[in-house]
Amino acid sequence: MNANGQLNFRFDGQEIIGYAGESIAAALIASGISATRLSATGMPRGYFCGMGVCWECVVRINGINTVRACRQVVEDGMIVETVNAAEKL
Amino acid sequence: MTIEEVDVTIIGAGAAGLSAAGEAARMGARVVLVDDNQHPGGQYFRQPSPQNYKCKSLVSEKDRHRFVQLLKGIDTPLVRYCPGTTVWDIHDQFTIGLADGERSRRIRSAAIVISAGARDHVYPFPGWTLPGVITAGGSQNLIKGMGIAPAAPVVVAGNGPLLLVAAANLVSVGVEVAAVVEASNRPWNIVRHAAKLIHGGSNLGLAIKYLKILYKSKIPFLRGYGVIAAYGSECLSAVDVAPIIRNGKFERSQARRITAKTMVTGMGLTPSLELPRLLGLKETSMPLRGGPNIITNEKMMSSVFGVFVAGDGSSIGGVELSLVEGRIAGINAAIHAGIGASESMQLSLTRDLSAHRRLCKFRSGLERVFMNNVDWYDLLTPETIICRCEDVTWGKLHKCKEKGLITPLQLKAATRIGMGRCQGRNCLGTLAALTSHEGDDPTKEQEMPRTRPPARPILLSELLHEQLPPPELPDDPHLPRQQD
Ligand SMILES: Cc1cc2nc3c(=O)[nH]c(=O)nc-3n(C[C@H](O)[C@H](O)[C@H](O)COP(=O)(O)OP(=O)(O)OC[C@H]3O[C@@H](n4cnc5c(N)ncnc54)[C@H](O)[C@@H]3O)c2cc1C
Ligand code: FES
Repeated sequence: MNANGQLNFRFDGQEIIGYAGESIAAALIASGISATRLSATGMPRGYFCGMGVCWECVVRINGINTVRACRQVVEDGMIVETVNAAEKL
Repeated sequence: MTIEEVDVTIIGAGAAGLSAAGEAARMGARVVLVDDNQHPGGQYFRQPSPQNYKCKSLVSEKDRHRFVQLLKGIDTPLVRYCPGTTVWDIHDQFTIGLADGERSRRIRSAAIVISAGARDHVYPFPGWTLPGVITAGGSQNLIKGMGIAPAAPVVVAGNGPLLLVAAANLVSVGVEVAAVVEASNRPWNIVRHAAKLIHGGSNLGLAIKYLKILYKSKIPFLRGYGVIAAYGSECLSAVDVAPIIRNGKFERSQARRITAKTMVTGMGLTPSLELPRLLGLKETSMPLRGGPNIITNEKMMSSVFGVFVAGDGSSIGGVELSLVEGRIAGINAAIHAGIGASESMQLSLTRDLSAHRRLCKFRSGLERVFMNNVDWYDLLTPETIICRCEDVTWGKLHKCKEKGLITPLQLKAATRIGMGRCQGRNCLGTLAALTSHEGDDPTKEQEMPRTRPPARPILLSELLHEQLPPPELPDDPHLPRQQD
């Protein structure tokens, strides 16, 4: 993290800038990314309720498949990936 | 492990929970305040992410001050505040189950205040699952809490006061809003309900301020319109809007397209009832206050002795009402726990009760301004997703119904509707409405899927760390176990 609170993480391989205290969903939206999950039938989904109840913003973080991007704060070096709901079946 | 014992347990540290905790502690009660957010404040007193606040701050001086006061109220050895902790079970009116990410534990108290807040209610429509379609509350959280503007141009469409607040806030932080689409055609018609609205005091001033911002911005304001479909491939690119006619249906022949990267939507808020339903608290239907409401008396006590419910988690009333209800519930919960109220506490309770009556009047006037007879289900097409977690479409449900599967439980078994991660929060309301719409026997109460613990998803590892035997499941969670 630098003096401005800026930190970096990756989303599907792409370098994203976030800031301390920001949620992953907010950092991605600020970078123009709104689709962060593929649904059971392969439809793109993303941030919807913004308060942790809809589970549409779920992403994989450092290998864990069930993290809600609207509730998780960004950390330096996180590896964030799209979750494909169909894949698990 | 021994079960921790306190006087009052308060669930939720939003406007209602913080004020309840402050008042109960002021009376001398030992309080545990549990909240699953990392920071106190709930949905209204949200703490902005400190370092990267790109938007102009929307938090007023008054709210900043009020929040500091609320935090002071819980800054006493009498209050144990547990952030990042979820209440996943209320075993009976005295014992709750908590999980903090690592382990699960239990707390017993003489009184419980449930102040779990509300969530946006969105009726499904074609394209509502596209990334870029977000709720009014979700938009508020982005701009107020994170200082981040959603992708422009934005169309704000739906119904109710929070939608206009969201629209005005987007304008205030300089986001390009292409149109505001409100289903009711009466938002400017404040004059008709002035007698009730006048009770709102500073609330009314705020509402007028928001309307002024929108009026000055010259953004197209479509009244009596709704979005009938959203389009896009990877994410939202446009929406179609159409007028709503007399019978509440949409006039598709007059539809027009508006380019949008974000659609901010919501048709009001609805109380979060998972915890009340675990205890089987009595409900009533209040269409103007968010649909299913918890019945409370003037002490804010529910149908179960010793269980108090306050704020938007009981009945949608906004932040002012939540603050007042929280105070009333906090004082009464402490009294219930056997703590005597001093004369000055009695006095402040009387003041709060009269504020409560006044704000309820304001709220009913406000809701009448936004009242409508829209048939939102007119928007459904066979491809419209009803259950977001399992991708169950309206067409699929319809096919099941043709095969004779008509009750919510039958449809759940056949399609997995309501069985995803959100635990039915996105779809069960719709399922209930759609099955009662065409139900054969309207006099028979719908048998809905039951609310069972966990009220919120928790980790298995948290449960494994619980050193107590798991609770017995009650025979029927809809039946209160002990009545007043
Ligand atoms: C997403 C959203 C955004 C909103 N934004 C605004 C706004 O900008 N302006 C405005 O005027 N109104 C807004 N509202 C309306 C606002 O919610 C209410 O006016 C006010 O916050 C109600 O206060 P409350 O204390 O009843 O609930 P809340 O403030 O919602 O607080 C409830 C708290 O309980 C916690 N909780 C719930 N269940 C559990 C559980 N099982 N275990 C532990 N903790 C739990 C929640 O995490 C939350 O912190 C918003 C509503 C929503 C849903
Ligand atoms: S946006 Fe709904 S859970 Fe994250």
